[in-house]
Order: sequence, then C-alpha cells, then structure tokens
Amino acid sequence: MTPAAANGPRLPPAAGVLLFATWATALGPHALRVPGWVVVAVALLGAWRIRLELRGGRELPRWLVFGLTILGALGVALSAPRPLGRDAALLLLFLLGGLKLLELRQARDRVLLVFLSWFLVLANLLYDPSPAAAVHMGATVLVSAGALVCLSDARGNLGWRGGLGVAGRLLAPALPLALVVFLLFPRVPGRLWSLPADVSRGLSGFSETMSPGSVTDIALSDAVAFRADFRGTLPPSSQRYWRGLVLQDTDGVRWTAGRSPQEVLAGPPETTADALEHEVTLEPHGKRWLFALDRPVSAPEGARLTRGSELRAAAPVVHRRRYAVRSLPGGSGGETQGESPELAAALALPAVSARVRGLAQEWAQAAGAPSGRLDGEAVVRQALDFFRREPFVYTLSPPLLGRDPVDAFLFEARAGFCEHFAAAFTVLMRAAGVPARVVAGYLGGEENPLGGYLLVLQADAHAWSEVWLEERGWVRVDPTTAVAPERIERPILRMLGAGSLPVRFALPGEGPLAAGIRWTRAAWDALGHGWNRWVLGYDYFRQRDLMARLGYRGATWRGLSIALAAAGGVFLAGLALALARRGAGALELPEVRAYRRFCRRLDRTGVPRRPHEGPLDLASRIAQERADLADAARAVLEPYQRLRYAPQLPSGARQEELRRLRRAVRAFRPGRMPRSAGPK
Amino acid sequence: MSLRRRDLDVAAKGNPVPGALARLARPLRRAGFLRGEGPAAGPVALDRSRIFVLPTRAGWTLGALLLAMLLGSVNYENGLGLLLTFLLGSLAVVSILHTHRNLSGLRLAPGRTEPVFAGEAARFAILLDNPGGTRRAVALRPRARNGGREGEAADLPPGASAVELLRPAARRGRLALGPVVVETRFPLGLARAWSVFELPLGCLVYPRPGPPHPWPAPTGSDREGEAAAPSGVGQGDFAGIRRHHPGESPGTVHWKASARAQELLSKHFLGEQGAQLWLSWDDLPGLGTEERLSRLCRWALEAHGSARPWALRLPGFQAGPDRGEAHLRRCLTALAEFEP
Repeated sequence: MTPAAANGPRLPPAAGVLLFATWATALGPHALRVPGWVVVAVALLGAWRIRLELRGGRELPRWLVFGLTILGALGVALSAPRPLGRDAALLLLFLLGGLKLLELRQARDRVLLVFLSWFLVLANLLYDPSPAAAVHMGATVLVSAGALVCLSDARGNLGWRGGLGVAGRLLAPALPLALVVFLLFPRVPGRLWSLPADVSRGLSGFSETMSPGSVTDIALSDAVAFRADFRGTLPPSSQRYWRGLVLQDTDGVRWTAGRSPQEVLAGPPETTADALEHEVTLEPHGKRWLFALDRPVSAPEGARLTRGSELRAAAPVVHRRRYAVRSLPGGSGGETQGESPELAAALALPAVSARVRGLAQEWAQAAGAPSGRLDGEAVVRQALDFFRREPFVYTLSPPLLGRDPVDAFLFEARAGFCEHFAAAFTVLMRAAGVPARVVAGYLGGEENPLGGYLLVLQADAHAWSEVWLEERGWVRVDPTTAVAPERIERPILRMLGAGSLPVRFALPGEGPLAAGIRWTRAAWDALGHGWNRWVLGYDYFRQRDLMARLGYRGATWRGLSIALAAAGGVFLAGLALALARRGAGALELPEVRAYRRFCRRLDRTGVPRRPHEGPLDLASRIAQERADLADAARAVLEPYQRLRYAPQLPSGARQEELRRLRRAVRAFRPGRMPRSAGPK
Repeated sequence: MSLRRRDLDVAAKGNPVPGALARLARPLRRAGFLRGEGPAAGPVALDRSRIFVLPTRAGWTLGALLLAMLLGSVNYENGLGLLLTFLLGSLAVVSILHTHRNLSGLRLAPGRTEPVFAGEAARFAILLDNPGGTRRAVALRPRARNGGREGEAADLPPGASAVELLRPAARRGRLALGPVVVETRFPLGLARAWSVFELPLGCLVYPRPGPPHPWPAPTGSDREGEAAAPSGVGQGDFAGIRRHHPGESPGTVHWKASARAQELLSKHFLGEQGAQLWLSWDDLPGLGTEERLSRLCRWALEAHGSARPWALRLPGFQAGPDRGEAHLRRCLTALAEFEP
C-alpha cells in the first residue's frame, strides 16, 4: 500500500469524538480484568491517536504496525491466564481494540473499530450481567451508532450532537423491536459447547465430599447461593432446610456420596396436595446438584430426582439457573422398604474408637436392642440428650481434630461446626444400629420484604443427619440445633458476630439506621432478583412458561419462529409506513410547515389569514388591525418571505433564516401578549 | 423492491430459451437493478420501484459478527448478550429503512449542458427537487466505466438545487451522459440504497483545437495575398449601419442609432468585406480527418477572435462568411458532427 493510501482522509472531528468515546466506553470496564501492562499500552495507543488527530502528523509505517501487532500477540501468548479460555480471549480482544487505533485512515478501519467495540461490550456482559452493565451497553450502543452516523455523513455537517440525535432516532424504534425479538427468539435448553476453563472456576459451594472444615469454608462467604420464590406462603423458619446432596460413604474423616442414593427414583414421584411449590434461582456453583426445600418430590426439566431425594441436573450448573420444584416440607419420606442395599450402606461403619462404639451400644441397649427390636427414635432422643447435656460448643473456628475426628470431637474438643455434629451423630447412629446418613445443604433464608422471596446465602450452608425409622422412613435430625437452637433463626455469621471473621460489614442490631440499611439492601437485592428473573434467567423454560401464560401453547421452535417472523414483520411494516407518512409530511418545505403553525396561532387572535393573502399583505393588515402583534408577526413573515420567494440562498444562510423563522413562530403567542390600549 | 416489466418482451425476443426457463431467467436478464431503465423523457421521481437497497460490505461483516454474537450469547445463556445482539440487529434493519427514505421522493430533471472541446470534461447539470428535509450524503455519478471516480457525496438541501456531473470528453461528437447512479449509505453505512436512471442529457464535444498554425490565404476580392493577423473590432472605414445579428459582438452595436430605430443596429465597416477568411477542408490535403478538423477548429476560433467575417467550408457544409457567436457555434457544431 502506498503511503498516500495509508494516509487516507483525516477523521472528521465529530466522527473522531464519537469514535473515541465508543472505544473508551467499550474498553473501560475491562481495564481491571486484564494485566496492567496491557492497560498501559492501550492507553498509550489511545493518547497517541488523539494527539495525531488533533495535531496532525504521520501515520506509523506499515512494517511498524505489523511489528507492534506481533509484539502484542506475543505478550498475550506469554501472559494470558492458563488454561486458555474466556480470560485469554478477552485479553486478546482488548489488545486488538488498542492496536486497531494504529490504522484508522481507511473508512473500513473505522467501522471495524466500532464493530470491535460491540464485541467488547458483549464480553463485558458475559463477565458482568448486571443492570449497570445493561446501562453501559445502552450508552455504548448509542454513542457507537452516533459514530457510524458521523462516519457516513460525508460532509460532516451534522456535528457530534447531530450524529447522536440521528442515532437516537434510529434506536427509538430499534429498542422495542429488539425486545420483541428477545421475547420470541426460540431458546434452546442447555448450551452448545463449553470451554474447559469456564467450568467451576471462581464458583463457591459444596463439593462432592465433606470433611471437617469444608462447610465452614463455604459458610464464611456471604455470597448469594440462591433465591426461592414461593407462590403463596413462605415455609416457617424451622422448615427452611434446603436439601442439596446426601453423603453416605465415609472412612471416618471424609464423607462422600456413595453409589446407591444417586440412583434415580423409580416410578413417578409422589405428589400430594400440600406440596409446596417454589421456584429457585440458583447461582452457578459448577456442580450438578440443585437445591430445593427438603424434601423435593418432583424434578424440574433437565434434572432428575434420585433415591436419596436429591435433585441432579443433567449438566454442571455454570450459569444462573431457574427451576420450579415441589417439596413436602415435613422432612420424612423417601425410600421406606427395609433390607434395601441403600439401608445396608447407611449402616456401614467406619473404623471407630472403642469409646464411640461403647457410647452407641449403651444407647442401643437402652432402646431395646437385646430384645431384637431396636427403637430408633429412642436412640435418637438419647443422642440429642447427650449433645445437650455435655458441654458442646457450636463454633465457626473449631480446634483441629486429628486422625479420628469423631472420637476427638465427641470426647475431647466438644466444639465444632455443623459438619462435626452431623458426622459424629451419623456415626453414632450407625454404631447403634440405626441407618443414618449426612445431608448437606442450606438452613435458613432471609425473607425479602419487597420481592416476596427467600434469599439464601452461602453463609447459610449447613449439614444435618437423616435416620431411617421403620415406620416413617428417612427422618431429618439436626444435632446442631440440639446445641445451638438459635441457628435455625439466624445464619451462622450473624449469630457468631464479626469477631472471628474476615472483614465484614456488621450491621448494628436495631435502630432506624440499621433498618434503613437493611431496607436498601433488600431493595437492591429485589431489583437484582427481578433482573435475574426477567432478563438473565429468561431461558428455554421461562419462555415456554411465559408463552403458556399468554395462552400460546405451541411455543416450539417452529411456532416461535413463525410468531417471531410475524411480529417482526408487522413491526417493520408499521415502521416503514410511519416513515413514509412522515416522509409525506416532510414533502412540505420546513418553512411552509412553520408558516402553517404561525397561521394556526394567528387564527386565535381574530385576525386570521385570508386565503388569498400573501405574507406581505398579511403583515400590513396585522399592523392595521392589531398593532400590538405587528412586530411579532413581522419577525415571522420577513424570514418566511425571504425563504420562500428570494432567489436561492446559500445553504448556511438558509439554515440561519429557518432558525430565525422557527424561533419567531415559537415566540408568537398572541394569548400572552398584552393587548394595546383597546378598541378605539 | 420490484422491477418494472417494461422492455421485457423486447429482451425475450430472439431468445430461443424455452418458456419455463425464460420465465426463470427473466428477472435476472432484465435486471433494471444493474442497467437501470431506459432514458426517461422528463424528470425522474425516485420511488419504491426505482430504489434498490442491499447491505454494503460493512453490512455483511456486521451480519457475520451478529451471528457470532448470537451463537456466543446462546451458548453462554446470556440474556443481556442476546438483547445486545438483537438491539444491534434491529438498529441495522431500522437504518435500512432510513437509507431508503434518504432517496425516496427525490426528483431529478435534466438541466442545461454547454458544449466543450475534446479533452475537456463535459459538464452535465442535473436539477434536483427535494421535497423533504435535508438529505445527507447523497452521491450522484455517471454509471459509465470511464465516468470518473466514485461520486462525491453531498448534502441535498430542501427545495430545488442543481448538481453538475463531469465526464471526460475524449472524442468529438455527441457525448451522452448515459445512466446515472444516485446512491446513499446514510445513516449507518451498513446498507446502500441506489437508483440507476437515465436522463436525456447529451453534450456536444467540439474537436480538440489543433496547435496554432498560419491562416490560409484570405480569398477576398481586393486584399489577396494578405495573411492578416487577428485585429481589433471595428477596424477599417465606417461604411454604414445594418441590422444587428444575434451573436455579433455587442461592441459593434450602434447604440444611438438603435435607440432611435427601436431595434438593434450594428456599425458596419468597409474593410471587413475585403478581408474575408475562407477556412476550407480542401485547403488541408495530406492530413487525416481528425487533424483537419482540429486545425479548422483552431482557425475558426482565431477567426472569431479577429472579428473579421469568416467562412467555413466542409464537404457538404458551408457557412458564412459571417461573424459572431452564433456563426462560431454553427461552425463548431458542424466540425463536431462532421462525418466524412
């Protein structure tokens, strides 16, 4: 390419302003997501380009542009976060956005810069799909459309404000059209592909195993775990156990899921009238379990219900997900047949110390084991009495327990978090001959006064036990509440105070200020939740739900496509018609339009224009009949006269004259003008 | 955008393609799309049937980009990403309507065209009537391949205005403007709306004046042998007054006499009659046709400048001896249209 071509036409100032604004707003939010050297390099490129456009100068030679690009690519290759995934792609995109400034002489390059900015906005939405990001998106689209307008405005007569104005007029109908398409565009369940680095990174929640301290780690986070909407009344706080996964196999230290509970529940799940229906919006946690009020009896679409009454999604939850589920909050139920392999697994005892075994045997003796018929409930009662009687402490920072944590916890430390209690209780039950298992999930949920839903935080993470009783099946037993009954009412963080925790915004207990802060937080969360429900969580399921509620049951791929085509077609046809009609109105010259408005106002004064009257005659008649209006009328009629009948004016003078005319017409308000002395 | 069915049968005539195939090929063949329609007699109004819209290269690129954004948003189940994609797509579609409207309703009529000499640029004036508001970045250009570079886009003010289209006039004769393209990419540059039309505009191209060359011998009655140099107006002895011929130099008008007689009269000098110049095709043997015409053109211009009566004689054409603009024009036109 010759230097002349590389030094193409200069960027018009208006297009330059908007193009640079587009570039800066698109890159801005990513500045904290990429390494510092890239930010500095890109900022330098921006400064160089601004200087070049303002002061003039030479473009970089082609070989240097090429060299810098190679250098940048090398830098990205070396410093990109591993494994290569979303972050690396963003880094590359960000750098490209900076390097694109190096060549901006061709019209094509400028348009490409706008396109690149749009891609960067999309990347921002992938990272941060918040209402703020949506506002950022709207602003960037407006500014970038203005940049495109100014770029295609060959003469540069519009100016950047005019460019934004045209962009606004384009966006005004584009936004509702986009919303229609958004609602009707057929969604697919699940995703098309995934990058390995995207899954389960930076996500908090339960892992497949539980060992002393693992729940404590989760409970230290005050991130949102999920939100649950209830149709009708909320469950009482004592029933807000959210079932996640069942842990059955243990070696005495670690607890894992084991095989049998994962099998799918045979037969259709029981549904009863008093089942509580609720809808959960689950934050991504990278695992397959879905949480539901204990105990779920129906599986949402894309998930199944296991024999352990767990909900298992078909794929790991790496995006926020909404699902409807029905639960029986009584707690008991599930598999009730004796002698199943599941029960055998729930009796498998790890290596335990003699002290533990002795304690359990003691309870079993008392509960009638020698007679051959063990009263499970009696054993449970004794165990809970034991926890209450002995000086057990519920704490978030338990002491280290060594190689036999159950023994150490029960007889020495006697301080622990819920997983210690649940694990020890379950082992004791098994040693006594009562089938038992650990359930991990959440306990609690704060009611949002605005949204009518429960907010469950990671800090609500909890573990409890389930024992199998012959008459009732699996029954929930929470040994923690035997020690700390207040745990039901409050999440662990608020219960224990801020003393032992990392920095945290501790709320003062009472008072108007605290109430205000709490209300603001609730309002913010409610806004976010509504956002999640209607914008982010508007997926395959929700779309079908909405369509069904609107009475459209054929919400299939085909049906939706037809509806989309029809709605879009009608919308565009209407828009084209409106444009054509406005075009017909625009057939009138602007001065004629202004003149007509003036005449309408004149009608109200009692001195209407007569059909045959030209502007000059009219002016002299007004001067005779309404001397008070004469000046104001002349201010209108003179520019009109010039515009309409003078030989052709140069474009600038014409615009000036038009502005004068319009201003005078606006100022012509006969009603507000003082009448002259009155009739003579 | 519909195409007109005019000229269709003419095109189909003499084409042995069987009926069904012909019907299929018809829209392609008549592609008013590319060739435009036949010349219109009067003003051309741009309406739905004359304006075509297609995406530009940037538009196609955006299409591919939006597809990628759509796939990405669907895959990452990102509702906002979908919204962005749809918003940009809607923006592009709405901009197409505006691009179309930027041309729609415009009326174009042929204006005046002045003759030029070969080697100059022919200027074709086109009158525009814009009944709406300002139309931005509308470009007009001749569609012909040698019709100059990409038309420069300009803003069309409301009301009447005129534009001039330039085409290089390489050869003498009549240069037709041919099909004209009016196009715009405003407001987003993603779509191009255009219309091809033809106005009855032609430009007369005189031969290129040859290099200066001595005049042929004047063939007047009493000044034989004089190779006169160009001289000023009104030299010689005053001989009387005669009627002014349109095209004669205004300097010869006898204003006082004209005022009395109520019509234009010009002064008449004796010397002129004697110094008649005869420019003749036959005086230039041994030259090619175009060289002869070029030299005659040069002589005619100089003779006109000399204010002496002069005459031009071509095979099958003779004018003069006479003077004035009208005479010059008549002779130059003859030179331009001469066919040996």
